[in-house]
Amino acid sequence: MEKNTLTRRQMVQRMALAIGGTLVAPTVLLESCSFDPDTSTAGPERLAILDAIAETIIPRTATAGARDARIGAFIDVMIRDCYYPDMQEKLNAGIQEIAVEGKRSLGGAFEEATQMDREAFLGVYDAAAADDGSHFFRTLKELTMLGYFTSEEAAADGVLNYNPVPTRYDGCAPVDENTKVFYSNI
Amino acid sequence: MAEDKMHYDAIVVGSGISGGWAAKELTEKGLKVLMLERGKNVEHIKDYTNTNKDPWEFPHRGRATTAQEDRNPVLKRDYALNELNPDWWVDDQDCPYTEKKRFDWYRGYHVGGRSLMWGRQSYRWNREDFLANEKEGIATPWPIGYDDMAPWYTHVEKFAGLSGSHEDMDVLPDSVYLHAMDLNCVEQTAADRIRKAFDEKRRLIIGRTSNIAVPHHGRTGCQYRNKCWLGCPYGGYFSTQASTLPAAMATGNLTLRPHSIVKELIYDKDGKKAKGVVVLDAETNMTYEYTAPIVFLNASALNSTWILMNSATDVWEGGLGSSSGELGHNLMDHHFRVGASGTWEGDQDKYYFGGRPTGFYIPRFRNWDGDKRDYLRGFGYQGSASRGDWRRGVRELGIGADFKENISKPGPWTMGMTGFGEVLPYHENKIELDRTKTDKWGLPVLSFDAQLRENELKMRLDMKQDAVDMLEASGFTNVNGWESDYALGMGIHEMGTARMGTAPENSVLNKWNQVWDAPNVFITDGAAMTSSSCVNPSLTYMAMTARAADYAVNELKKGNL
Repeated sequence: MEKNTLTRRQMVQRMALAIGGTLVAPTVLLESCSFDPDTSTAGPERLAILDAIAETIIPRTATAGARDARIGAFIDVMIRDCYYPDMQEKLNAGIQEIAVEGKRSLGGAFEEATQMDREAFLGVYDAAAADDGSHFFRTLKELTMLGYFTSEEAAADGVLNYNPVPTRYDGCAPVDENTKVFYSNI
Repeated sequence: MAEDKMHYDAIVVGSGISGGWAAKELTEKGLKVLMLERGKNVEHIKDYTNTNKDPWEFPHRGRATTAQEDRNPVLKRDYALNELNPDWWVDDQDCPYTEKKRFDWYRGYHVGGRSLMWGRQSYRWNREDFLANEKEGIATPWPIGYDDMAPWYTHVEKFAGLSGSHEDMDVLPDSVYLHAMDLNCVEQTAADRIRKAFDEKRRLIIGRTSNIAVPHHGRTGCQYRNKCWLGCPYGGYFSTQASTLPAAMATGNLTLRPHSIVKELIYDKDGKKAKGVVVLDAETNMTYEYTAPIVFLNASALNSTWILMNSATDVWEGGLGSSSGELGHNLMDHHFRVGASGTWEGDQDKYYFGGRPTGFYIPRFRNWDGDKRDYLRGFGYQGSASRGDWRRGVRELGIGADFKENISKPGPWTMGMTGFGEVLPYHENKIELDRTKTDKWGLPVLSFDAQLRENELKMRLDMKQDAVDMLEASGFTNVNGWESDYALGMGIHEMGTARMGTAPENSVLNKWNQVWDAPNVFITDGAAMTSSSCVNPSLTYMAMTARAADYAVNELKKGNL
């Protein structure tokens, strides 16, 4: 039975096994991942609204949600580093609109509302974005999903079949109700 | 480099796919070889810095930043600009060029060159590929044929290690394979249906690739990680580092000198040969002269030509090889980014496991075996079938827990393919030196003036429609023919500009890849190509290099060089 996720130790063991007698310096394989990608300098208010939007799209269930994976900080970094000013303005205006309109419509801060209320509120934006690829919410949804499905938290919880060293290829494997998407790469 | 020895038996300029082969063959035949690489060293495994990282270790999950985009206006046109292996693509600011017409030039200036990032698809040319120019009166005839190349294809395939299936087709001669990877279930069904629907004339086969899945010459083999272009610590694919460099080093005959930009060949006009090369040290800006009786130029197609253009300019204004009138001309690539995709309703209970490092291939069927079109030559397709991942959810309606659950499961099957078409060698498609612009080292840059022409544009109509027809004939639904932005160079298959030919009047190189005006200079990279076929070119460079190296050593021993 193939386990959905591997710990780093298991991965290294598996790699060492696969390598057999050939020349691979173990220090390279054991290179640790203490690296922290989170370079966001956003204040707590911005992180709170971004985390709330992301969590509404990908909530915590039996597995980690977007907030657990710190997707608010990820979105902030992406908007800062990967978009030009016109798009940054559009995205930030959209985030602001969700905060203001959310508060008006939900009778309190958007991030304080229940998942159900936030989903109902953002559902309108989602419907608009499904019809219009240039809608700001399309980008927020894409960034949420990109960040979440490539996160350590999602991999650790088996949200998808994260297997960095598959060691084999099977072109015709059976599927059951528990089969998750096979993570390929970014 | 104080220990520099200044004289060798042979100098190899460049360390990519063909340079690595030149070094291996020449050193194994006993020559003391200096290999010059203009960029930095990249050591096998140790310098594959990102290959074992998890996706969450990349702050932008692989995407390029606007700072990268601002700095690299050419690289950003395609996937080459990214967060995963940015050090392996040439910086646009350091190494600019001039585009009279758009040309996408994606270069790798480091030890190993693009052998580290290549697509690895590996196909022999067929017999007609070498004959078509002569039969059709296009450009100039090839001075060699399939029979000249066949033993050398075999020679390099045995060492490089190829994966593929034996199909016994004239249009795509079989190579020597270690094994074949599997089509997935949907691809296999499509293969069976296409074969039947098109009366055996169209075939979908597993892509032939320089990936090994079994141990081979000290390499472990593919682990199906789908991360080839970050460098493979398992030696899963052919690269200079995994394959030819260790073999050349093992002879004790190789000296590798990184950071060495070859500015020009030292030309002896009385002896009518090159005495050696002038090297500009990219770090210190000091110049050095190295000498050898044999020089192999494997600097990548357009840079090998650049070196010729900068050499012997006191004899020929246009540089060494320009006496033919063909130096810099007949620039080619493969044109692609046109094809079709469709949805597969069946096999919902089937999936795949592992990241297979190749897709499928559909060999050329146009203008072949009795078929006749209103254009010359043909195209093949590369493609794959897969099931949707989370990305499909971005444009779908839905947020929340159910949505999360749904998109964590395999989505619908889709299959897509893109054609790769032959580009004819047009004298008008050319590169020149632009002496008004210089790079970081004060050297003149190349200027590009080339475009697709009528033959390719007509071919593209078939490339789209034939893909649609095959998907529909196989039972796919929502079949969508598409064509997207393509400019010459995007295929990263630059060919021509110092072509082989039958006489000094029609070509820069003879049938042994020797420069007519300097027979001890051999060019065995893409520059040498007289036409382009439609199959991926690197395997042919490997074979051509081994063939020329064998000849060069024999001639040297006979005292002819």
